[in-house]
Amino acid sequence: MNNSQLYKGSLTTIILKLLEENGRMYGYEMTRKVKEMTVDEVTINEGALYPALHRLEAEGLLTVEVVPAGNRLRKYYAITPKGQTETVSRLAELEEFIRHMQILLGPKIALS
Amino acid sequence: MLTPTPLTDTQIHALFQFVKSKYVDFYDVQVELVDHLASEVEQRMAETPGLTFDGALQQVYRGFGIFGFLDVVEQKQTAVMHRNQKLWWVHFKQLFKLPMIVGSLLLAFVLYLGFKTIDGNIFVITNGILAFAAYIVSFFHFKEKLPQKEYQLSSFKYDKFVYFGAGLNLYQIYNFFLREALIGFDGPTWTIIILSLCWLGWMIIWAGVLSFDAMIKDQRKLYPLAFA
Repeated sequence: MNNSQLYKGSLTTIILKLLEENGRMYGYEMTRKVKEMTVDEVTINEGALYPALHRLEAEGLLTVEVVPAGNRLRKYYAITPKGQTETVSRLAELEEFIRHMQILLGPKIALS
Repeated sequence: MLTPTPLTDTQIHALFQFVKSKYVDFYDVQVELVDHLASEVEQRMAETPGLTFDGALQQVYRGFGIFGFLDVVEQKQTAVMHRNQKLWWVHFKQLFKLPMIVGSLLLAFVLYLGFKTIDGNIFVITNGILAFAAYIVSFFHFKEKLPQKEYQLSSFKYDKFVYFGAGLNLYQIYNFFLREALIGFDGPTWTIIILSLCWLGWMIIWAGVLSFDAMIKDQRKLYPLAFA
């Protein structure tokens, strides 16, 4: 992910939102999706993505499935009901953060 | 977007060797990293004609940062430890719900009956020996169910709950003799404490065995090749 701490702190929220919208996904697919959605502006660092996925899996927010993909195996992640609840709460937290930043830094920053 | 050409079996094998050479010992982590590397190498080779497999691989590996796969492996172990603790806790709590609570109460009753029927010294020694035997039996039980050596899985690093439960029961032998030899106190409080701790020790062992079995079931479903 871009070096900015702002993005790093939001990685798990981005993952949860991606999975909520797209159903099951695998790691590489997530990196492509983020690049595609932001027109190459945001790149997820693989060294941060997989630890974040493993952490979310351990917390019971994601469930996994390993399926053959050609001559190799592929690990898919999907969101659990607990993960869906967590996504709502994390997104609300993030929106609140953006609103506060907007107040603090001036009216020019708009919510997208 | 260009359609990537899938890597050959030999190239996938080379990726496994590459990942292993970077100290990724766990098969589950290897599988995920190999798929990631393969997908990105395929994409890069499709986008840049003339780029070799090795060249693309080095480019992709650089994307993991200066520590390479080290962070992924280390944090995977932390996450697995956290998950295993949660799994144990879920099974431990199950022992206090129906129908398992019947067995838990029965166990408490058997321990109480044993303590009342036989001499206290013999009881705590027998209980300790039985707990130790349970640990040995579960150790071999787990050993038989572990994945093959060349397919180590990150989940299978911990039998610490069973070990701790057995340790707690063994400790009661010392506790019991300490009471008699040093304190000279023979009140019902000590009896209740020692019996409760023995019971707790067995409950910890029991939850440990149940959670380990649940984990094996889950891992077998995910990585059948590792158990073939």
